[in-house]
Amino acid sequence: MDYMYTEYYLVVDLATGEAEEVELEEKFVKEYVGGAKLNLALYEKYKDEDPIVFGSGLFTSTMVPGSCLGVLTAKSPVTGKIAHAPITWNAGAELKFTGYSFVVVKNKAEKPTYLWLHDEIADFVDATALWGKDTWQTTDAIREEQGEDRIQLLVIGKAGENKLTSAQVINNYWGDGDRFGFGAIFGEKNLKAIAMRGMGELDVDDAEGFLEKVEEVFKDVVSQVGSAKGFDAAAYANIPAAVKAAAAKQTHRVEADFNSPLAYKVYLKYREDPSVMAMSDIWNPGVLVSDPIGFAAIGNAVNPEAAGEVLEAVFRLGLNPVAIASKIKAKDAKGAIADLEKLAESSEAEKFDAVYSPISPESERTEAAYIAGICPVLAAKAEALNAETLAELASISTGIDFDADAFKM
Amino acid sequence: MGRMDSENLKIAIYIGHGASYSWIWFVKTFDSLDFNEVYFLDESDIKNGELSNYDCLVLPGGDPFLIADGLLEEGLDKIRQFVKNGGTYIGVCAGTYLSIIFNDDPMPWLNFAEVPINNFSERPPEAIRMKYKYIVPYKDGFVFHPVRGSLEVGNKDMSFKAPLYGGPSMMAPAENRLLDYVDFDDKTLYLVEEDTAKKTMVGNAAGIRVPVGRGCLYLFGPHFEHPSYPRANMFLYDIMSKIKPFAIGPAKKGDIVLLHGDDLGEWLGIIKRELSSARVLSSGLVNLRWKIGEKIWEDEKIIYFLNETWKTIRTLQRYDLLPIEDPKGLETNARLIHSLLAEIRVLSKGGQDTSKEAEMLIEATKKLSKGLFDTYFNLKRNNWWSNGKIS
Amino acid sequence: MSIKVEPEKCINCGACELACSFYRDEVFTTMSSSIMMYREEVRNYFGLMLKEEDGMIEGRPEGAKFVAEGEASDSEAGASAKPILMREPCDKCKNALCVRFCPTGCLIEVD
Repeated sequence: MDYMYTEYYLVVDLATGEAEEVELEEKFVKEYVGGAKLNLALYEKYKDEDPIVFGSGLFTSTMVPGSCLGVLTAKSPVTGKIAHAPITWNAGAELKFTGYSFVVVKNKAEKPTYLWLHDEIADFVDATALWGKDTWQTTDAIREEQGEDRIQLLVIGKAGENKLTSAQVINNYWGDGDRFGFGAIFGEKNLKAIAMRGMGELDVDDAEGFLEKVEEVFKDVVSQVGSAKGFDAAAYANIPAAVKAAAAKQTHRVEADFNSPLAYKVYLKYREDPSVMAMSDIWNPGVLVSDPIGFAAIGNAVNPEAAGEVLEAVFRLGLNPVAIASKIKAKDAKGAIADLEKLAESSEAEKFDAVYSPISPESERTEAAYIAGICPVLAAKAEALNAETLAELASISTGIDFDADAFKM
Repeated sequence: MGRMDSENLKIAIYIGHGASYSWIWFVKTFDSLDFNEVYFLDESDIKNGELSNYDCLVLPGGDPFLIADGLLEEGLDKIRQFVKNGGTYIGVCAGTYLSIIFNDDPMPWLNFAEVPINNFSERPPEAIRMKYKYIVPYKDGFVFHPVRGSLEVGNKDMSFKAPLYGGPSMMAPAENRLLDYVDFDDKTLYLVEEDTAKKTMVGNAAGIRVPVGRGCLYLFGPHFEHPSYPRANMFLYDIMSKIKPFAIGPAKKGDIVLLHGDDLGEWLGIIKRELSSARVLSSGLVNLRWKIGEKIWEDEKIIYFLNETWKTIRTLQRYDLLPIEDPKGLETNARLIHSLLAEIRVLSKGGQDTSKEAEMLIEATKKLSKGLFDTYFNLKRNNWWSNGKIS
Repeated sequence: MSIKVEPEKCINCGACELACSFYRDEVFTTMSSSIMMYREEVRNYFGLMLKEEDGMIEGRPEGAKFVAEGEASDSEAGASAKPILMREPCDKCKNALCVRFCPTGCLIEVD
């Protein structure tokens, strides 16, 4: 594909250690656009080989506001159906910059492995020494091994290794949109992580026309987002008032996803004074509340002051906070973390109700966002990111005629 | 003798000891101007008498002290003979300083002709920024650089922008002048007060032509070859098209190996993997500043080099047959680049000096990119596009 | 023209990196930008750096400061937070895309 995507997608066979570059044809993009929709087509194509697909949307990595989204698609061990997990932050954008807009991971590795994608190269790296390590240790170790701190990772912890349906694929250090037990699929495949770093470039068909239109959209989006930030921008999560009040005392800074104006992610510091801006010697001062709904679930289960620290343990073990919250018995941080460590190794964690609880608020624009590669949290807030506008941007940037229906599954 | 077609002009670019990364600008610009006969020489090629097989020699930016150290009197004399016998010498920045006499007691360099410069003084004006890049000691005085970056050059027929990174302000007679420094612009960076800079530069020559024996010198201060300055590139093109043919024999050829099929795929795969890892590492390198000789080597140039080499690999991988000189050696260099960068990262995180590793890195990237460019221009010369060899 | 940086407003979205790269090459990448985001992710220590011809603006969480080329950055913050310079210097373009696409006003064009 000449515009907005890379030339190839990647098909990885963990059983044979082979990686095949497959041309991403224009007619394929014309039919399936990208994101969840194109992922699904790839899933179907390789469904006999037990695939999990990580893919970008048409606008991922581009200047369209909120262009952070990557989507994980596979058959959910929780629901038994095909599901799409939105991955926000930076992993989706990094995937496309590696030179592969989509990666299909087939079959099972003989021994623990991580996949290292960098600039049109796919390496299978032995992860035996990483097996048993938590997600933070793993992210640090891989970044150190490959020599770059901005490597983006999808990684599992103990829960994924133990193939629990309550396992979650973690994004570097932080939980994200996997509510479907995809962490267990990684574990089943002996896949400790997918690590990505790319220096690729993406072309756009009508650069001048695109810039003009995207700036108009950008201005609309910024005004629709308004001044809402932090937990105010995450009202959809229904975080209990007491938890919010406790978190307010720990709040350090707010942050946004890749190329998104919506700073709804909140960093809480509970191991040092949150007003400290300079870097101290404390390497792990707190946690990024990357998933406000998951934070609300944990906040309901433990003491409000302990919610951040307990969320950190959830992330490190690679658990889905929504699935696991009701299993935590202790209210204090230490006790709750001990509970979680047991849960990550026990089938007790398997028994939860498969309530669909997405990471993002529901909106009429969610579906289009999943296909376009736009952060669904932003799309819910910004009316400008509707299917009609996305179709217009898609036509300008690719030279292919798209209509609003293209952004429906 | 008439004008030469660009595709037949045989150009030798000096990339040996002391040449900085700016030679890669010549490669990009010559390629886009459709020069096909582009070759790369180092100090030993010149000492071995290779020069007579080319029409012109390009001495790019770098460090004239180091270039002279590498060439030694033996190599310098080969260049003098080349020009006297009818070859053309194109000097930019360091290549210009190397070729002219601007002091009563000159360094034993090429010293083709006396061309006083206005940016040499025993007591240079005070720098207001970039002090460490501002002056270079030379004998009893200093060569100083009043401005950097974009500025305006011109003559009675034309004017255009070009970037200056240390080139001289030459006080040449009118008959030698091609272009003068006309003005500064809003992107010029002043290293001294603006008035002082104007007095030092404006009205003096930025480009001159000096006949020597049967050949001639084209000497430039600014980098007309910089790929971001297309108008300056066209000026360079006009100059190149006036060069008289001189080469008396075929250009130097090493032992070329023809790689194809699985062997080629495997070789390209290794080079690509190592380069990719090197790019990842270099993009994350922090706050390094390496001093080599009198020149500070900027780390961003490393990534520029790696990126250009990367682009060349991506072009080469479209072919199913490649002529390569010493593929094993290039492979070794690619691995070395990767491992040196990894070492530099670890050392610099620990606050340790990395200049030795940096020097080796620069040498290795130079060798790898030269090898790939050789292959690229070889393909271009042999017109393999139209021969349907493209896969 | 130059760019002023108010790093305390930064939300680390990287829109400026994309915009500057687009200005240079009309492609989407983050690598040809004169601005570079940095992030000590676990510590949540983040900001941006703007490469200039004669040095760099370090937009640290605790404030912005200009570090001239050749001078060492302050070392208290630890080696990995030191400025990264592997980028082309800002060419001081007017009506800069990095400023236009910064959603928080962290980058400001000044004369």
